[in-house]
Amino acid sequence: MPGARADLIAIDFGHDGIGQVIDPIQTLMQSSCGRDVTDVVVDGRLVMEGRILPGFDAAAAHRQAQAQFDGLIARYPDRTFGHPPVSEIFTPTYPPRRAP
Amino acid sequence: MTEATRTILGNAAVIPLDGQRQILDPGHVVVEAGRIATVAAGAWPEGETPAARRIDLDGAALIPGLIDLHLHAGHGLTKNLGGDVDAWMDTVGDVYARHADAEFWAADAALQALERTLGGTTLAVPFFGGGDNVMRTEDTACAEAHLREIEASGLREILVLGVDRPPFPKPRRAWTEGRAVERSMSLSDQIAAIGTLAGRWRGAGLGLIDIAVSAPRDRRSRVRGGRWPRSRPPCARPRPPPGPSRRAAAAASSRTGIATDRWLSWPRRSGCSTGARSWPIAST
Repeated sequence: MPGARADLIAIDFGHDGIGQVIDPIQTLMQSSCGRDVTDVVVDGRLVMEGRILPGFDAAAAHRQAQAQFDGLIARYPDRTFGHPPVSEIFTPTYPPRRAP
Repeated sequence: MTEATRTILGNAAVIPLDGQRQILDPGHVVVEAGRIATVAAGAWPEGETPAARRIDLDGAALIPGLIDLHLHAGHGLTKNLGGDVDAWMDTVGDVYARHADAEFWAADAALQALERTLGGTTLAVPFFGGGDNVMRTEDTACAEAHLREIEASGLREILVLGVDRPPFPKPRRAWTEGRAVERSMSLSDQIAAIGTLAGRWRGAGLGLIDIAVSAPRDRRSRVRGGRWPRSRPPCARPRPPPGPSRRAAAAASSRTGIATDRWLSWPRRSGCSTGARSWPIAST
């Protein structure tokens, strides 16, 4: 509404995961999620444009987080009673196959 | 962030959510000095426009920023801890009161601001800690750390600060240079810290941050003698009431003139009902 504080978001309808745009509201409700938000305006300022946050390297942060998580997991045997290996603390989804 | 005073968000499916329930597709929105100047049909404004930044949204939906009215500072870092709900509640309560230092609250705020931005939440109203009973307001350090990160993000926030439920004093553990210091927190400690934070942060920075004050819900302490039950009411699907069979109900229905489905239907709820529930009564 004219005169209101400009807090606006744009949700991408141009990617192939969205399906067919029937009506913008139905498409928002049925097919959209937070990952489709491309642009965010707060109080007239663009805080995100084209899914890029100024001064934030998402790929580098993702790599750093994975490295920190791997380091955390690797320290578990030191902290666990009897110091079992990581594979016994965090069991794999599928059991390892043994040769017949 | 851009400092352009006039920005046109154009070539969008504009959903203004106004009284007319209109959709402007294609439409555009002109933003000037922090406010919405124009919402109109057409991919771009007609005729000559003053110097403005143009952002082509390529058919994207353009809607008001989302508002999150129920969230908690701290949960950004603890939401993925394992365990059932009660165990999780106990754990995060302990983390917030005794193990979280200013760095924890800063990291949590930075992560939450990132997630809010990526998901389009422009205003959030978080409790500062675990609801109405574990508020880290024994002094200002933790909330300051949180607010500095939110301010840097450029998002709007109304931070809800409050006092804990009685009895006081409550144990808190402060961390200075990696060393823990046990201390007790009084009600007046919390009130003083909230007053200081509100004076310092209401409308601070870009004017996007505000402070709200909450009071603990006293019905818990009154009704339950100071303790809220740890176990929740059973979450069983409601059983049908003992009653007539369908055919008997139909016969009864023809006698009484009361619709059969009022006898036989029971709430088809898939979720958990915690409130008092009444079965259909035939005397209406």
